Amino acid sequence: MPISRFIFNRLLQLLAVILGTVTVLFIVLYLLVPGDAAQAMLGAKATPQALENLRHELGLDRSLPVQYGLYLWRLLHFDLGTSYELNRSVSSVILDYLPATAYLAGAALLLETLAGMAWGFLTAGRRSTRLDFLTTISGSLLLSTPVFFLGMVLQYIFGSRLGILPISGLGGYNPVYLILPATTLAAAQAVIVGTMARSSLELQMARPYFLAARARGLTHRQALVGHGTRNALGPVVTLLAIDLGALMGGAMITEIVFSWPGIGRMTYYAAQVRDVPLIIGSVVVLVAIFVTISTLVDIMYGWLDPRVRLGAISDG
Amino acid sequence: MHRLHSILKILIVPFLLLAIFAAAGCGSEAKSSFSYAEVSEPTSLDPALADEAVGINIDRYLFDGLVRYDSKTGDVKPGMAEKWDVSDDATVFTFHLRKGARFSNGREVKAQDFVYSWTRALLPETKSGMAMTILEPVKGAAPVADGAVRTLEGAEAIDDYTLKVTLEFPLAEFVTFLGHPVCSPVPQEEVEKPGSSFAQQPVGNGPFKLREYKPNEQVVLDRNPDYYGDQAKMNEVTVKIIPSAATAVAELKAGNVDAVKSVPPGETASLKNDSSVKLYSGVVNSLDFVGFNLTMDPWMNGIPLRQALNWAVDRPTIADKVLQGQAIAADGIIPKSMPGHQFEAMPYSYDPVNAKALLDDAGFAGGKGLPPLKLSYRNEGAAPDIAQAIQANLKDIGVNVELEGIESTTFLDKMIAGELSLFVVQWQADYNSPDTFLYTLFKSDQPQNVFHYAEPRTDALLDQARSTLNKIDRMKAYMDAERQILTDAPLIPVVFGQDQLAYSPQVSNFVFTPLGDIALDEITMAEN
Repeated sequence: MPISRFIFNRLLQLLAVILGTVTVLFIVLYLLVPGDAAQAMLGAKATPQALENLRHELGLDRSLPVQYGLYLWRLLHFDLGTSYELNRSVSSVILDYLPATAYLAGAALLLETLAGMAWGFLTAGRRSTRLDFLTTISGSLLLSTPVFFLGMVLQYIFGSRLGILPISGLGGYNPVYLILPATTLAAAQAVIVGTMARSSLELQMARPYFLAARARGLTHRQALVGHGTRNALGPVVTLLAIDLGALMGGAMITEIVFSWPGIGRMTYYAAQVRDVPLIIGSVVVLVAIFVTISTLVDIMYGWLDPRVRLGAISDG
Repeated sequence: MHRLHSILKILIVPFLLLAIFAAAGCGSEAKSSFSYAEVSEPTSLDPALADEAVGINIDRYLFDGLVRYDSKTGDVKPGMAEKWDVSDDATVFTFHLRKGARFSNGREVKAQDFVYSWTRALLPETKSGMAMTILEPVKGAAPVADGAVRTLEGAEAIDDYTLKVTLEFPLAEFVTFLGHPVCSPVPQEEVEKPGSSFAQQPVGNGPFKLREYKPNEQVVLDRNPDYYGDQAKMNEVTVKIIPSAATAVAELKAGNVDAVKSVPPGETASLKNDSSVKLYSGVVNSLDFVGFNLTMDPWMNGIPLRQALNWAVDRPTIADKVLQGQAIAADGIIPKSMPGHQFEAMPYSYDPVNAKALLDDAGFAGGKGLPPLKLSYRNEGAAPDIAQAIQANLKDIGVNVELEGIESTTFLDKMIAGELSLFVVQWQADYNSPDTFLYTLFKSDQPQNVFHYAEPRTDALLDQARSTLNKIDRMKAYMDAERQILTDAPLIPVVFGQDQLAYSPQVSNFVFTPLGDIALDEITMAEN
């Protein structure tokens, strides 16, 4: 399959996912969220005429298919509507909060990469050792600890008891404020990256070229770093790239615990006040980011490895 | 050695001087900034859109309306209006504005600014949730809200410093409405400045002005040196948005904020024995009650039955144990912090024996003969806990009710539509007057009379209160109405709201107003 057709297919899939997300959200929220948005905005003493005018302005007096069609039409023009609660365009609200989430997600990604790769290097080829036992225990602990609990424990130790790190807020993008929330967000993922890195490295260590390098006199570490790492990175990089999208959408609990002014926290607020345009807009944006990154990774992989775009199974 | 002594002598003098200056600086400088944590973001800093507690607290100190509320008593006192005249029939109010009061952009505040601001708040494009609630009495408010006209007939600037307000109906309490931020003046040139967002960069005339607003992060206010009234005690106030109560309390203990507003019960318990933090309980103008739908059986024509249920409710236990001190037992309908509160209004106390006797008199001895009853409540806040406690109290006298938790918006729609028979609900005051409880909830023609209560004597007393200029006579009419309502028992008053706040011992004067605001201009901090 030519690369252009491969890219075209992936972009079609991207659009289909976004369209599907919008459709499901629209049906669920507009059908299942009860109450009159106009009444909620204008208060109990609003005149009937004022309510009717606002319902018309918001399109709430139209049938659901018409509302859906209008929403898609506006979406094509990158218009995500107006927040009921904040009375501002949803796009401008999202743009206010997205940078903070990107900053946190980027830092968490860096942390989990460094920690995960170090984990993989240290433990590759060391099965059934004491180190293996310790890392398995601590990894299981981190994976099973709820994010909010981990965050609160770190706040207590480093903020309240030791008083050496701030426990809430963005701090004007001061990196010190990033340490605890990024660590909380990255902890469990670092274990997954580390496990993937370890498996991938061990796979390379069984390859003939690796054995040959060792036979030529290279130490285990020299062979691993000089030859094995490059070949082992493929699956790890794919995982990290997809994880960036997941981090963007999965930071809600961390953002709430650490009062981080990001899009996750904003989405939580929108859900609390039932601000339907804001809920749909923020979820659509996060899904679009996630799917776009996944698509780009797919395209890049397909370009790098023809076996992928031909649909053949890759043996890594 | 000699040279060393010489060097030391040379160095010692400046060090001594430094020490003296440092000592002179220490111990005499008070902290000039105050910060507190809120658990949610203000929806807007535009006073026309202020409809929740966080934004209202901030806007009350960014803006000054015609009147202000006393921070201790909640009574009305002059704000931008130095004095006002009221016509004999309580329909025309003439406000005389003080001269020389300015917005923080330097322009003098004039009567026309109020005309513009009130009109703007009512216009459909503003989408204000409070404009009609507060300004409905003003003549011509409804046509502006409908979008039919763009001029507010009842607000007229006679000259730069005289504002004449004409009402649709007599309302002697109208001045108490005007302390709400929606009635604040806003400068038209700033609101309509191209490219700016007044909701995020408001320009006001209050004791503070906005220095910085980072959405979902913090709001920073600076003292307004040009404010016409008493200068705020603090140079700077920071409102930090910290949605997690546990994190907010941790920040307080770490000294990163000076106070936390709205501490939940779980956190309060752990702070009671913590000497690094002080707790404050502030009564707020809210009432949690059980309502009867008087269009439905068995409540219709059932005064003895409704009175019996009033005797069955253990209000002190609900307040102290069930709600863990986040409320106080209601002794009437008007909260303790509101003008018009009377200590002996409530004819009921917790008396299950009397309740059973009255139930018997009503023909439902031991609860027999009652239809299946459902107690509905919204799945939010204290309502589920209150509902469970009420269910238990009623069961003790033989009245079995099934609980029905309903999603918030659906609950409100059903209650207003008259579909609920028995329901738990909270009512919060929109302004500091008994009118907001009694007239709004119990006047027979009011849309928010969710009980469908209609008693001619109550209607007459409420209308009389609204048209009585003399404050003592007016309050007496409201009090008489309250007693009549309690006797007729269309509701079971349960508890008044009480906010729990925590603050640092460094705060030397912590003031929490009856309207639920931290008095930002009166806070002082201890000297270092």
